[in-house]
Amino acid sequence: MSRKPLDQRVKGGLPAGIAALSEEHQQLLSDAIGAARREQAEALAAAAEDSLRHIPRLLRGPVRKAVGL
Amino acid sequence: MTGAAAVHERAEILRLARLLRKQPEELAFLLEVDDADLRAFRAQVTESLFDAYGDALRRLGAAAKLIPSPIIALVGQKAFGPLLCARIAGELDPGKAVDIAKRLSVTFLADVAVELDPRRAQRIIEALPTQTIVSTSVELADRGDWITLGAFVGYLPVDKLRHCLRALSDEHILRTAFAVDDEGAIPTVIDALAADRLKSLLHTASEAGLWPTLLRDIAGQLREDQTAEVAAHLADLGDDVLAEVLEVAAEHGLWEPFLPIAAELPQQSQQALADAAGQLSSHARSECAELAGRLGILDRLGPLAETLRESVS
Repeated sequence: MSRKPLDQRVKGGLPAGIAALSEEHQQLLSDAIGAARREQAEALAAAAEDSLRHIPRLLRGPVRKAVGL
Repeated sequence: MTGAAAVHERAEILRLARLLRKQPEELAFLLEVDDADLRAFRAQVTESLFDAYGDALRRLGAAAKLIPSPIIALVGQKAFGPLLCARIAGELDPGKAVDIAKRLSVTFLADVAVELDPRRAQRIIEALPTQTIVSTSVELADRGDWITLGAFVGYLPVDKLRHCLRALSDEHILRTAFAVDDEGAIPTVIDALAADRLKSLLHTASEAGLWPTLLRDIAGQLREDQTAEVAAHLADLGDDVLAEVLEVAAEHGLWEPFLPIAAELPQQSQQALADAAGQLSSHARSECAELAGRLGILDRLGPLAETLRESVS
């Protein structure tokens, strides 16, 4: 998997103190942001399907449509 | 102090570590970055995380309108978990969010609060029942989660803030002060304290060894009238306590928040400080004198000023 540079992970320019960090430390921060986003995406995908099991059958159709499943 | 220990003194690094799911020690390299840059970077990271999958979160928020609150509360706890609930919260209608929150356990609400960005959930925070906010605050304090408590301070309506302060212990309040995100909110917190509570906080700072946080995170943010109030209470605590605060100011380089308080002390207390200052290193006394001169308050330090001038001459 390609490793995104930190300045491509966030909008706007990096604050001076962050931009002055070594390449290694900037990459560590960039990877951490990527991992946090992936964790969120995985939680979202799992929850969307799992949540339907708890919803009354009658409501599942409209909810699927609203969520876009 | 080692880097690993020093990161725990920097609330801004602790907040970023939590957002990025890192141990604070792993971010020790951020110690060289100032708080303003860390704060700006954290805002960028927050935006990146909250705006990712924004469409999906908005759709989930829209779907919530179709589902009765008891079912959403069940789905929230069983399927979504705290992270997703926190991300979706900002997309919910406040009335609906409050109706859902009333059905959630305090433990779960505290878990959601950990993941929440208060700026995006302000309308919900304002609409939540006071008792829910108080119970959640106490739960977070019992967990020692000062970072989460500190994040909400600037976003609580004053009446709810007052109830929370009443429910939290002095030590809880002092430890939260270390982590207050919106430092401009500190004067409002002091105004919201019950009569005599400020004095009690000073007493607890002395008992619990929390003078550094009281000086740096509270005293440094106060209005002039509040500084005078702190000085009056401090004088009442006696000469030994005054000497203790002076030592802490010297040890932690906290002359800037301490000197305005010293300037408001009665002459007798300033004399006690002058006596205690004699025990400090000449370097600490010079540093103090130089800053008092720069702040333009050397002449208001009474007998302490004389001791400081002697160390400079």
